[in-house]
Amino acid sequence: MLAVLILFSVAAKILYSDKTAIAGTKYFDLNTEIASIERENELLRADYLSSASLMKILEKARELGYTDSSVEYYKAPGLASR
Amino acid sequence: METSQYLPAKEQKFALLRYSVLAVSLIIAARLFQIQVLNSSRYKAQAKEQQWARYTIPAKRGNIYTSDGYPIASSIAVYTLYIDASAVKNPPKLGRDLSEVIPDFDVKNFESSISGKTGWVKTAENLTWTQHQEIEKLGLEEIKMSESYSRFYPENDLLSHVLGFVGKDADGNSIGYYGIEQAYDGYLKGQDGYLFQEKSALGDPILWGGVQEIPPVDGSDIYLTIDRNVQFIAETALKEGVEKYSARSGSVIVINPKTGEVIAMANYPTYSPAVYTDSQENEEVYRNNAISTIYEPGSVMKALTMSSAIDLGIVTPETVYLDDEPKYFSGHKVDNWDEKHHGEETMVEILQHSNNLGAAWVGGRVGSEQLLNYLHKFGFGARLGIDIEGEEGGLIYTSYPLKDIELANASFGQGISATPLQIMSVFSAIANNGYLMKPYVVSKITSSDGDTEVEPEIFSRPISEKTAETMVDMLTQAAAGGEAKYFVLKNFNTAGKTGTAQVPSEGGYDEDKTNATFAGFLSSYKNFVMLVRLEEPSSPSGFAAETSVPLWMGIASKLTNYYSFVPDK
Repeated sequence: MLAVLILFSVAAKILYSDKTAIAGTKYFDLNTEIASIERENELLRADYLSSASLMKILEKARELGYTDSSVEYYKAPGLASR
Repeated sequence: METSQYLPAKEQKFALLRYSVLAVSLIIAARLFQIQVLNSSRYKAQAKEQQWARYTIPAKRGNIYTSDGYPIASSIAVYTLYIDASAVKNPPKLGRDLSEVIPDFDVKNFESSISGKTGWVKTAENLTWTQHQEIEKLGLEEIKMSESYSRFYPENDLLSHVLGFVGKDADGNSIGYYGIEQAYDGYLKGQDGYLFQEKSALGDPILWGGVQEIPPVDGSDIYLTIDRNVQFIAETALKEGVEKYSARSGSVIVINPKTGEVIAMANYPTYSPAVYTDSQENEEVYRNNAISTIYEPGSVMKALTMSSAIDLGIVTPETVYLDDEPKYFSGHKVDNWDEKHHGEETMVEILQHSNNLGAAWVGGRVGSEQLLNYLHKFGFGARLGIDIEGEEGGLIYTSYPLKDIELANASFGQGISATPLQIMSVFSAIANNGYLMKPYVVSKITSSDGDTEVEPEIFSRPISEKTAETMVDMLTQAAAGGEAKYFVLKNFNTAGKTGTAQVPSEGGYDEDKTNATFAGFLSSYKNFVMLVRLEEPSSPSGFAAETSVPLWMGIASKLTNYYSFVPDK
């Protein structure tokens, strides 16, 4: 009876250790994946920020046919000498 | 029998041995005491150094945001590739493999760099995460990559003079230079973390050994008062203006006079903070001329002289001055810039015609003591205290009474020097009911400990509200009927003053070189005050009326659209 109990305990311990090891590996892999996704997000964000820069927006607007508004000042003949 | 007073030879030998053993024991005990007690901390540290490997976990430098929440400077993870030169079996193949991942990888250079070497050789820097992953996939045992952070400026050279850049110090640590990166380096850089791991005698990590980690503390984020759109408008126009008017350089400052918030601060030529160089000859380009360059402001200072006289009740806009001939001050002849004389002129007309003799007359009535007092109150002669690196304080007279010629010159902006920011302070105070606000660029600092908001601060109150109102009217008339009249905005009343000052040279002034300044604001909308300064413009002339004025008006026109102002005329 005692031998069966010991055998059962050992088997349970082995099973538990095995599951813990698998969970640990999964945890490690998940952490690696999180780090990887975070880095990818960082790169995507950088790409987005670059494409949202005002110079890029201006270039795209010009490609689409937008032009600068006419400047609202006037220039009279006989410009001041100073 | 006679007893010998000496011990037998055998016993003498034992005694000698005992004393020797005792002496040696004492020496050993003393040495152990020295090692284990007196020097214990030193040896513990040495042991720890030998038993524990220390790895630095770099802290992420904080981001810098413009007022619209756009991260104009941020940090991105990059990787440095090391190769164990002695472990490389086939250098040409490894070189080819790496060149497929790293576009500009020089295979031949790589082969020579590891040839005949042992140990780890730094092979490539600033690799992206994608490249890092692709190299990992190669499954090479002879490579190692370390992570660090690199500064990323998505708007390239926009706002570079305000931002500064991040370089390395003498120890190879990242450090901010110029602008916000330098002024707020302590907040931005954070605190590196460390990973301690027990190692074997060969230096390899012990699988079941101890691990201790001190996590890094990332740097604080900084929010600026800068409006990215206004900054872009100002920089684009300034670049065009400097080229169009053949100027050496130029600066534009836009400030909210009610708070002192800097809305835009642009300089040209400019640089990209991401690709700065350590070259000394390029150092000039890093300077934020809007706050670092001092120059004689010229006629733009007549606004200060007139404000002082009106504030003291010495003159009113209707006070008349007789401009009939050149005048002599301390034996020096002073004349108007065009050597023309206009007869009886009101104070408004003095501003409109930028009349030197009239300004000198007004300055004479104010007196040197009071004029210096007003200069100080308007922020001249000392730094205004803006929160970025490199601000200069300018030069004004420090003692009075001034000589007549000194007082006359100071009245129309000669013989003193100031930064563009200081010159603009005159107009900021006028636009803000007489209150001069301390200029600032950082509005908020956020860290793990919480947020720190920056509140507007009054620098001084140089003039009364009534004087400020009067000056708004006078400067509006000065712009509409004065030198700026050929370029004033069609639909908006503008209050401002031009300044064309010759550049001092040895023994006098260089007649061919000028600094052209225009500073002012929209009379009905005092949301912003703007200054435009061009250094040595030459096309079509060196005069502010033909260079900095149209540039100012062009930017202001765009800003009226941007802010959706309703025309007031």
